[in-house]
Amino acid sequence: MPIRFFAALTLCAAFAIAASAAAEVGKPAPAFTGTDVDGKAVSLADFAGKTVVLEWMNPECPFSGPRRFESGAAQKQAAALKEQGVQVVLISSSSHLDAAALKAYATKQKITTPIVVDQSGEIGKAYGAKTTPHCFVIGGDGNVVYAGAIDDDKEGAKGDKAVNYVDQAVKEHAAGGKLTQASTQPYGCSVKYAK
Amino acid sequence: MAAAVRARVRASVLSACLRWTSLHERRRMSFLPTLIRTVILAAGIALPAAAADQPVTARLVADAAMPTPGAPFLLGVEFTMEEGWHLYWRNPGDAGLAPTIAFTLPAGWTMGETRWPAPERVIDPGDIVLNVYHHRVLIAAEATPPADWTPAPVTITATASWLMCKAELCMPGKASLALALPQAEPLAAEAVAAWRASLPQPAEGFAEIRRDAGAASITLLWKRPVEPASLVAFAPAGGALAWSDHAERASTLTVAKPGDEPSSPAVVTGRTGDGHPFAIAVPLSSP
Repeated sequence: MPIRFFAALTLCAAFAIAASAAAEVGKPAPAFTGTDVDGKAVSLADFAGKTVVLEWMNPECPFSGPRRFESGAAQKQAAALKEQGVQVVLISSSSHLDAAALKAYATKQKITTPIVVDQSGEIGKAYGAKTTPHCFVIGGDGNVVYAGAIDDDKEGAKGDKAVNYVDQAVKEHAAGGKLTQASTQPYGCSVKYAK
Repeated sequence: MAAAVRARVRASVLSACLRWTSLHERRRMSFLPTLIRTVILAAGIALPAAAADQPVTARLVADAAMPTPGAPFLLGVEFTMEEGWHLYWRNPGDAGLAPTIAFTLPAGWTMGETRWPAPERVIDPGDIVLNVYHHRVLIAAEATPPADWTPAPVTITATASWLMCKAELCMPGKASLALALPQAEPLAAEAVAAWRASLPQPAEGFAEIRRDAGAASITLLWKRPVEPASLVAFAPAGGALAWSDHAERASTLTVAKPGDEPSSPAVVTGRTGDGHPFAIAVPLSSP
């Protein structure tokens, strides 16, 4: 009984993991097409060949709105990444935030990177996005290079000493080396998917 | 109280979370008026923090009317949450943040390990597992005045910061708390007994722990019925853990990075089939 029992258990575990779709490091990033705050289509395929950073965002979450956007940190980072040829795409999977609310926020916070309005949560669930922020770096070949937290500063207490995992992953990926941290535990508010 | 001993539950605070309340309240006003109004209230708690229209309030409590020299007494922060709001356990789960409490005790007083009642495990849409508290929770430890302390009126203070969430909303909260001793309303013996019963009891004999060398999963074979939905795991030294399967008498814990686990064990807590909270240590380093 023990061997068969454990085989069954292992199989169950494998199924449990396979059933919960998520973007995995080293595997192709789930393709998506969504619309931005102006209703314009945004596809991952639009940026084929480029390194892309996806960041799940929520203006109402203290870890995302105030800490990333109202501080200007995310805008600054997106601008710096753009100079390196890296495209940042923001995704909102909050079911209750529509394009108009996000557009007003983007205008106010001078966010120029596209925000994909994913009210159905389809894109978020395909990636297994759990928190805001939750970040994914996708290489030019379409494979996920990094998945996890924005940085190592969950408490927001490290200031300049914080390690920004996305910047680190982009830099190490561009240099062709092995990533110091290819996946980390994301932190923040839970993504507010439709109930 | 010449010098103070600061007994920190966790070293860090939600400082950045809180900093924005003053910086950004005006700009956010038009976008999220309700949120902002509440956040201003959250940021403006005065001693002893009992603002009635706050979704979560904190109170410094003790089970002694007056401490006795050399004798431990229970000292903690009791959080009261409005319906629908929750706080997080020390391992918040896939999202969230644990409350932080820093006690300030008179010089020479000591404080033991902070005890957290067993949390509720909830699964939000998107397969997001959260370990939370609803309604009311007491996070406490035993404090002891020195044996040579001469009893005299004394005030203990604490600062607490937390992340509170309800449905689609999350907000930081903060309170500066004080408790003047002697006090007229110490925690009742029944309340303390109920709190002790809510703490996970060490129960190493409850499970046989199996792991193959280099395997990503650890299997716990339960020797008595447990409530699978109550199981939560916490790795104090870091390390991502997830439950990947629950069978009737076995649960499987998956470690994110096999071969790279911290040497200190994880703590798995849960409830037995008949409702008693328990805790067992689960070694994470590969055999």
